[in-house]
Amino acid sequence: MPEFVPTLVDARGFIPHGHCYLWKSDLVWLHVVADAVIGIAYYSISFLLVYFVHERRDLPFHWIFLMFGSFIVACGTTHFFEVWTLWHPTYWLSGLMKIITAWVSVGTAVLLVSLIPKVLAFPSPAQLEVINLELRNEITQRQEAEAALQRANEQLEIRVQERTAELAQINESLQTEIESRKRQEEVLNRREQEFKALVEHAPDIITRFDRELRHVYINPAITRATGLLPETFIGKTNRDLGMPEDLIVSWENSVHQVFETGQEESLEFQFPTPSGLKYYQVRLVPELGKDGSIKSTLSIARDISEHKQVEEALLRRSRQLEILSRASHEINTVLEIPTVMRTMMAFAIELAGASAGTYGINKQGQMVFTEYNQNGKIYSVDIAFERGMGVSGWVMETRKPYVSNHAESDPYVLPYLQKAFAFYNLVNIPIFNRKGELIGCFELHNKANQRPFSDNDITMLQGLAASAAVALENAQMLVERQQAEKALRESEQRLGAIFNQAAVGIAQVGLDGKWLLVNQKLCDIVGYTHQQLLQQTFQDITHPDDLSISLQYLQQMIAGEIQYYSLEKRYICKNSLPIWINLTASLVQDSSGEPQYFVVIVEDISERKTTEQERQKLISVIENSSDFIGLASMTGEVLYVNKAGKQLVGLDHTDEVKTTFILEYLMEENRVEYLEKIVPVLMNHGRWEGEYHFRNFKTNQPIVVHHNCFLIADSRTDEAIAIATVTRDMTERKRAQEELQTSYNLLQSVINSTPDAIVVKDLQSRYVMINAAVTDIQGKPESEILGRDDSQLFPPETALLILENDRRIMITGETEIIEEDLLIGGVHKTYLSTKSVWRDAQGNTIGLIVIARDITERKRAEQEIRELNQNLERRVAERTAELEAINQELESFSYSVSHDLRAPLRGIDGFSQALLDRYADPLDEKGKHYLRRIRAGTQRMGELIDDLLKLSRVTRSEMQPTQVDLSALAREIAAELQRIQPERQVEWAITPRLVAHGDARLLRIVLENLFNNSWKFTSALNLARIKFDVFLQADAKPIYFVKDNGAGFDMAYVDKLFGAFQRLHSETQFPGTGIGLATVQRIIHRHGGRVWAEGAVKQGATFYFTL
Amino acid sequence: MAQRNALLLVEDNPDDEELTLLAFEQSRITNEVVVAHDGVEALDYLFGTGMYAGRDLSVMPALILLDLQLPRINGLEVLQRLRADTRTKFLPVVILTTSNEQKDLMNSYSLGCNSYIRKPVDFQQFMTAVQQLGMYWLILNELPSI
Repeated sequence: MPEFVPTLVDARGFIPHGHCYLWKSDLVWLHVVADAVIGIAYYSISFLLVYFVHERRDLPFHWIFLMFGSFIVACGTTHFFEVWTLWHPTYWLSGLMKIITAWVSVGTAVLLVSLIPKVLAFPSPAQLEVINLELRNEITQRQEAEAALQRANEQLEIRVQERTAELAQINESLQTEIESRKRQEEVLNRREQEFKALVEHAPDIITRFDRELRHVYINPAITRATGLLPETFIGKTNRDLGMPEDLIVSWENSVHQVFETGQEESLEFQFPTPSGLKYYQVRLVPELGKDGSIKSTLSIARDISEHKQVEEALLRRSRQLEILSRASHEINTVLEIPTVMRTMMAFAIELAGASAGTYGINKQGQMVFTEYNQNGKIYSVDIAFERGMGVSGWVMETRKPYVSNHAESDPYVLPYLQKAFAFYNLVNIPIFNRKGELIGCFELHNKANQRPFSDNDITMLQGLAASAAVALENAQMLVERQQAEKALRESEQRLGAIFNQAAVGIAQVGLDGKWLLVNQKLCDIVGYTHQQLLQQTFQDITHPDDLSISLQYLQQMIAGEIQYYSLEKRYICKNSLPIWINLTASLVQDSSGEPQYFVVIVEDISERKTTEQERQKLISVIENSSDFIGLASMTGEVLYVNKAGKQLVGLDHTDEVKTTFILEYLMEENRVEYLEKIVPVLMNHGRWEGEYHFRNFKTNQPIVVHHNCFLIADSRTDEAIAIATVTRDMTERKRAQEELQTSYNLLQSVINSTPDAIVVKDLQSRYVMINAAVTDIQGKPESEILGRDDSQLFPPETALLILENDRRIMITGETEIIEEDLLIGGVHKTYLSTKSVWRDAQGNTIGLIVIARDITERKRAEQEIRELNQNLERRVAERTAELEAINQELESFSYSVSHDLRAPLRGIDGFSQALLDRYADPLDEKGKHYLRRIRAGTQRMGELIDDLLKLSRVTRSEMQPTQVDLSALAREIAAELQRIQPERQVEWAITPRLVAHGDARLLRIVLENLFNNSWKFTSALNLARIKFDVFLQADAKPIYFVKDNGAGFDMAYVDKLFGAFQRLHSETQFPGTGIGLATVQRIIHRHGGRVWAEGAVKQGATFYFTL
Repeated sequence: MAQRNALLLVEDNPDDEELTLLAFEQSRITNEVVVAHDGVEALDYLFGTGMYAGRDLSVMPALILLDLQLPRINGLEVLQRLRADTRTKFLPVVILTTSNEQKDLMNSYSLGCNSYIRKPVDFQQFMTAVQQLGMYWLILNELPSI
């Protein structure tokens, strides 16, 4: 086959069919068109056949149509091939197509053969015509009948429609009703389901009773409560169910009540259940039937047992707490141990609701019970428990409470006791003190089958035990305190006896020194009563000289430095006399070591002290005597020599004295005489006295003494027992006399050599002493002056003057220095007299001392100076006036210069101008030039005059110095310069805050001139720099300077700079009058300062100045 | 109402007198200028005495230019007197002098001058000053009528 397909389409070797038509185009196209039209027509027929068959499915034998269609298509195709083969000679392919067409045509023919008989069976058109006719008649009849029927039908139809509409309406409303019913029913059902579920699962017992009080409904809660199924209850009353009689009455009453009144009722009841006593709260609610009558009653019973129990427990607990608080209070008000225990017992019984109780006290390891409380009655018992024995023994060991709710079978409960006291249960509570020691216990018993002891009971009882423990401790303490107090009282009594009857003063003294407690002896010593003493402090009665040492000890003791001290001191007794006492004091502290008070013991030692003092005084007198006092034995051994004695004879130590004999104190040459002449007198008369010589041990030189020796006799036997001496050194006195004389002589010569007159006058103004000056002045010998008074020495007027002065000073007693003009020997003299009162040793006025100096010369000199001064002042005034006049003149001169010199200048200038203006024509250029030169000259002259005036004003004006801010001035001037020539580029460096003391106006002129100069001489520069600053000299004086970088100057001409009209530059170069720096210099000089300059040509200039 | 047209120039220096008049002329100030050559003449004119006896005193100068340095009675005294008289006390007085002494300034203002001008040496400047003076005192300034 693979070869076959290419063969089919292979046209090689064949000639296209067109050749047959000789490619005659009209012939070719004739075939083409004919074949194509046939093909298209065949295809259309086939298509229509298929469409027909498709539309008429009822057609018998429709497949035959399809067969027709197929072979017609095949025929059509062969025609198209005819066209194709005209140009493409694929004759194999067109042949194949013809075969296919043949096959389909044959098939159709065969099938058609078999079909023909069947087709022939179809009626013929005539038969059909007959049938048709019959049928047409029938149809007509039918049509008539149908029409009648139609009409009837139509009527019926209308009625049916009407009826249907009605029915539809009814139906609709019915439907709505049914649906709403259904919905309601559903809701109701659901609600019922919900309610039912609610009721079924409600924890409350919900029951419905009918009028006969029978259970109609009961929810499953009953089963939970009673264990019985709900069915058990239905149809039965509570009475039937065996409700207790007392309950049933109130129950039935309540339910009847509900039925009668229609009001809700509520009641509570309780009944025993297998799980114990139950409490119920019941609400009875009437249920109304459709007619409004009460059909049934709904009972909702709620189990409130727990609530009830809690309530009861709370009640019991609050009652217990109340008992406990009462117990605590009452127990604590008793202070005896048995009473405490007894009270506690009673409360314990009340607290636990027990019927009996007993308490034990721990005594040396045994718990001893002595009382038994039953129904408030107390019986004596005597039972003691060892540790580990019975319940109490167990409690002692474990220190825990013990509860036995079945005492009969409890192994710890001793059976004989249980029988003896016939208790049913017990609780035993230990009692501990604050230190945790077991001090006792109590036990409660219940006789009948009462409530068991609960944990709560134990807690409460422990609380009670704690209360009791405190009370017991208090009681114990009380007992101990009472014992201690008793002991203290006894001790105090004993101490009191000692205190009051002691032979020494005893006292308690506060830290502030106040007497707190004193005994009689102390009062006796100081002479005050108890009350008087207690109102004072020890400081009050301590001798002022002893106070500081006392206080010092006291402070040391308070500070803990010493424990006690002992001191001999003096008190001042009530009679103001001091008394010597020996004081021993110690500090009493409390347990924390805090000082509380002092205990002092005072011993009167006045007597001892007096004796001792007397002796001490005596010794002191002797020891401190300036005389030689000595004592020797009858055999001449020296026993004692006082201080002055030792010093006199050159002995240094007492030890040296002890080895000497009397004779050694004498000059060797005197000893024999002493033994032979003086000792016998002493022995016979008991005394010798006279001038003698002692010997200095060191120098062996004699000492002139007044020697007094005597015997000391025993007061009882009158026998001589010692030799004593009181010997006075006479050396000093002798020398003193000599010195006095020398001093007197010196004084005398001083007095006499002084040029001042010194006069001493007595109360009668008589001269009692004068010096040499007086005799000189008076020109009389001393003898003619002493004893006389002033009236005898001076003329009467002078004498009177002196007398008046003297009297005044005697009366006032004050020293005066007065000038006295005296006429002496016909000459007037002035004296400066110092006059003071002469007093004796007692201060009484006994005369007058006058020291007078002759100041006549000085007075004259003073007068001369005064005159000279006056002269000088006058001359100064004259000179000032002259100067003022000159100044005035100068001023008017400069005034006229300013006025009169300028006036003609103005004329010259003005008329030159007028000439230029009005007579320009007749003048040639030369003439005009000369006029301009005249004008320039006058203007320059005007400037010169102005500057000269300024200069003169600088000198004339009055200085008004103030603090001047030079920097501010400088800035102002700089700003002004810049304002006039804003085009100039100048870099200013002005140091701020340069403040100087001077005249503000003048200093401004200085700065103006210097700045102007700098401004002017830097005008040729593009960038000028001008600086104003200061630096300090070595003496810290400031030097101000203005520095520029301008034209500068040649230092060779530096001294010409400051002269008036001196200029270093030509007028055309830099304009100016040459007055500026002269002005500056004058101002600086007026300020007492200095001005100078430094510079170099084209290198700028610096001007320095000080003020 | 008093007539005020004239200018009273009190000036003893004939140069200054002429220059001042020249300046007025060049400044187009055409008011009549009465010249007094000293203080006495000035006062005579103002009060109608001496050489001006019988003068119509209702005519008072609109401006008085007063020099200070004057023969016989000096400018300050003239000023003092005319300020003391009700007829002349409001007359504008401009001190026109060569002096710029502080003392003269103080005295002039103390006595009530209205203005103080120092005569510049430069004639151009002097003319400018006179021009401005005329402009101000003769045209701008208002005076109370007496």
